[in-house]
Amino acid sequence: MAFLVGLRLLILQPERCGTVTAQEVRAAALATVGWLTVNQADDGEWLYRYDAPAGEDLGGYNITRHAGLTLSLYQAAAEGLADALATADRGSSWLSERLVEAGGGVTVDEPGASTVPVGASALWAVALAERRFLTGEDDFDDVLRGLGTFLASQVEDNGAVAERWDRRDDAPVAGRYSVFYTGEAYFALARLERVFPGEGFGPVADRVGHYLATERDDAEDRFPPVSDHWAAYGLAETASWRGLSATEQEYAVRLGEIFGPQIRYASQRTESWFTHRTRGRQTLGAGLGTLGEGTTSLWTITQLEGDVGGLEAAAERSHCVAGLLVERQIDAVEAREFQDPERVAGAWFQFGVTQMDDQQHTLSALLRTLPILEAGT
Amino acid sequence: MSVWLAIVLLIAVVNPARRRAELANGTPVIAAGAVLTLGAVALLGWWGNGLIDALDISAPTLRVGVGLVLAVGGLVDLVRPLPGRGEGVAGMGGAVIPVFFPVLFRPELALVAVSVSVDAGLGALTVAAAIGLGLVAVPTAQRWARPLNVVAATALIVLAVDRLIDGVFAL
Repeated sequence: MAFLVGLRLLILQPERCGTVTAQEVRAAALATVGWLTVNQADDGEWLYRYDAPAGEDLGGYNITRHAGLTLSLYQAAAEGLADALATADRGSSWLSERLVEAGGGVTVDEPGASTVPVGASALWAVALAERRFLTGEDDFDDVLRGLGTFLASQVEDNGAVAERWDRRDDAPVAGRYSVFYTGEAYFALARLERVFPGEGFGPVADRVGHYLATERDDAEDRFPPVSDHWAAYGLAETASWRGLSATEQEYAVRLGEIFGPQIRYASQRTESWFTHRTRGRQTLGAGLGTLGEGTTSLWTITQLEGDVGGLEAAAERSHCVAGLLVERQIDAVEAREFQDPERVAGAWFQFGVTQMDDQQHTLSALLRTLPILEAGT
Repeated sequence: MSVWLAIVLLIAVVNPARRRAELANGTPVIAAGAVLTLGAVALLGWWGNGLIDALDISAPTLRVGVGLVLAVGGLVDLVRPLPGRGEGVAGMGGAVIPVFFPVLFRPELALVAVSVSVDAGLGALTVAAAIGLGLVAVPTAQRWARPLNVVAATALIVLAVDRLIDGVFAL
């Protein structure tokens, strides 16, 4: 009996996913769009890092996260959330002012740096494609093709993606790879194939996808295997224009095996003394959001390919993440306890601090759970 | 989980040769106790999803718990010598004590019942449990009891690891 009690206390801790409705998820997403609208400067730059109890702007900035947030807002606009399109377009204006020629195309420059990360170009390409799907406008097609050409120039023969571009040599920086940029480039190139079919982006995307599925973790010495929500997006995107190969399907299943345990573990964490000591503190909003982005992408694959290797469980896992996010978001009432409620309401905090990507990944995860909830799965 | 895996799991967790070795009762009494246990297992299985909902745990987390319990149970069965035949209530009352409880209806069997029901369905659980518990009613020659116990305990440890891995890495 003591063994069973110990089992309950230490292993079988309650998973507090809660239940959420589409309305609650939409309301949470709308509150986040509100935070992003209020906390955006006229030039399109967002508040990056903020300490709520101290009421202090902690400064710093990251162009890749800026591009990712722009994508999240276009996703919100696609769901019809007020102000999202205008806020996203201001984010795009900020990025368009930083375009420079690179690799036969264009990239988003990082002023002052001798080398430029590819992540911003990848995520902005995805964002602009999202905008194109939404508005039907082709204003940014030249930029999209330019970003795609640049990204393709960063892809090595085996599908690895160079993390940075060297401005001086107009060439990829050899031998440096990012945990997430490879997946971001995969997602972008796969999406560009959907936007511009037959223009050559698809085969490059496939090369990157094959590398991610078969080599990346070993070649880049990554252990444990990368919890790569961007790769999951890329697989879902690829499945929208062709069937996934057996290798890609196996990779999707392996990603599920990475996302699932993290979600269960995260759902067992509370702010209590006991779970702090047995499960650790609650994760960042950004971290939880990426898991939701991952599982919603796996669910998208099941909608296109059927239940591949038990991926239908992604629906339930996505519900869980959405439930946790809604519960942990600071609402307008809670925000009144802080010095500057406008910088708090609709955001996610850890140790009193929020960062731009806490809103980026959470917003995307919530929005992408909506179709799952609306489908009743 | 397939029906075949459920059957092997239930046979291993019941460990018929070991349980039979613990019982001094006659075959009809043991068979009656096995039927009683099957009823309890089926009842738990029927309640399976409701139970894990009430405990706020998911099926994969339950699998992890089951794996840990079975690993300990398998090791204990493997290491400890076969128990001697215990005393119990005489007559058909023996079907309840000791056959149903404490010999057959054990914590690990209860946990497995819930987990198999959730993962494979009540039908698979009932078939598998009927086979596993039915084997307890089959008389086993004394010389076979020890090797059969080793086989069942070893299988239980292997299946415990399988349940653990399946639970940890489930989406």
